[in-house]
Amino acid sequence: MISEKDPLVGQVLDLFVPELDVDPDELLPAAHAGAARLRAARRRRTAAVLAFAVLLLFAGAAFAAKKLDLLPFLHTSDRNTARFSVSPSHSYHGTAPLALTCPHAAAGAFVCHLTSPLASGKRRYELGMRTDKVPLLTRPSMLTSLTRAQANGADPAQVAHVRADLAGVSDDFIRALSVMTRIDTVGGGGGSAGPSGTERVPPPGVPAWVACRELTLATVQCRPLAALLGVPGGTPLYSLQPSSDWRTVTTPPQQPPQFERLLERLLGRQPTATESRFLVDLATVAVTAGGSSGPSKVKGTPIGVSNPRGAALLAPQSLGVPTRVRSATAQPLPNRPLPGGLSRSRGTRLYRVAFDLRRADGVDTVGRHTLYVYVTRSSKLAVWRVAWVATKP
Amino acid sequence: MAELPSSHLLGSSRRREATAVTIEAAYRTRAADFLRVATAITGSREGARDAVQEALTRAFARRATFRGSGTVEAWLWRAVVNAARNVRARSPQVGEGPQADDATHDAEDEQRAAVRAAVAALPERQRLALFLRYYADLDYAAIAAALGVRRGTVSATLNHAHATLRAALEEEVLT
Repeated sequence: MISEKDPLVGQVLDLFVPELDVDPDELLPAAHAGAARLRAARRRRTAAVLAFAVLLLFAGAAFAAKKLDLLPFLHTSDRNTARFSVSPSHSYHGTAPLALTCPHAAAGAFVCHLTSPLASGKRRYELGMRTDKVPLLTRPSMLTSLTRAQANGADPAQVAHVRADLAGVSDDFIRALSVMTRIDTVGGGGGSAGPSGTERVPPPGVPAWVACRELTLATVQCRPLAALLGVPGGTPLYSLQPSSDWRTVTTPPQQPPQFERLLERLLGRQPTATESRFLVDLATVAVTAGGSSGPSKVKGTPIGVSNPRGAALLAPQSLGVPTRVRSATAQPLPNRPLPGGLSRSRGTRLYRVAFDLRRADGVDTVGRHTLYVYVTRSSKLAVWRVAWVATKP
Repeated sequence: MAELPSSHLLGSSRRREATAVTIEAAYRTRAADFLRVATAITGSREGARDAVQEALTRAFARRATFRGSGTVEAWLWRAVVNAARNVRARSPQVGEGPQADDATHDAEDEQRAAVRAAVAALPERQRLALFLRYYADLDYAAIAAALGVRRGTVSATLNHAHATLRAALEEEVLT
């Protein structure tokens, strides 16, 4: 039981400290900043201890560790593009506000505030997409996927073919493939197009793309997305909206991710013939309609690919002539009805795919071309397939 | 402040863990009480701000250490009380209650001085229990959690504090 308050004591204590008029927001920013500093200091200490332990225990494995360094593959010279790796073991389940104001946007972590999507001003970011959840690719998980695909109606002969090739690839290859599927690229976003051969870019040091996570009711913490390692699956990605201080620069040459080189680096050797064939097996999609000069509806085979970017990479095959894919860059869905009756959902993505046409097809000339590829996720088959191809976004 | 998505609020009520969202929600609900109790402990508004900010900083940074056995608010109270005690320990002049804003000496100031002296003369645990009971309206269980003592101890402590304070002040304040 709780005793009643003593009126005299209450009166005395009201004299001691009268009631206060307090603005709760007054202390929060400094508290968050202080907490971020504390956490960063702990991470640095942890990293130092781990690094020391690794040096002690695995000094002989320095070469092997170097082979897994993804950073050189994540850097791009295009300020409007961000290449990053997704963690297969971490997921983000927080909310993703539609728009943010980030007055302190810069390198490193910074705090942003929720804002209205209709607001304007500098350092305003809009939600572009969420990172795909990347499954941990292992031999058993791939076999399970194949079994599931067959149960869902995939061609048994094709499944048997893939399963046979899977048996012929090494564990090293599957590990390398698992690493490669974690790499993703986003670009475009906040209206980066400029006059021909140029593009508009943010001021130096201000990231065009950021990955954010919920911090408080009204704030999120963001980091520049470019070359960010281990982004949790489901993390909301935001693109910077143009403002008066953006500059026009010459569009840098496209930098494809050089997956072949990464695969060789990860493997420490050239892939074997079986491994190369297995890659083709995975990427097999039959395309019923072709042509890059206009929109075309495309049907996928029962076996698609496990990630949307991989599906988009298959689109140039629809041309029916030899092509070499250079890059596939995720784009925000346009703010208008989607073509082909596609629905606007998490299962619909848009990619800008750059590729080289090696032989003229009667409409397009040899050289670099760009396609805008919509891919959709088949809930029945749990795979991504090409759904719509166009030459304009 | 921007309008908040309802998912934030739903999320905070569902989870039994100290996320930044639940900590901030608990702080916003109790901000005035935290500041008032911290002012009473540290003896100044400035010290109280430092203490509450320090408590919040540590709560945000170490939210993973929250074990979920009590409420996030109780956990915050303990952090605020400890931070305020630390601030008071670092600052030699505080501890006798907030000072008057100006140098005028009227009857009210004299009364306040008497109150400050009477409250300052109480043992620390009695002072803290009184502040939490009267300024924050915490029940015995919450006070016990904030002070790290048993619930029965809170009851006895408050009884002693009431008696001591009443005896010390009955003549000076009431007459």
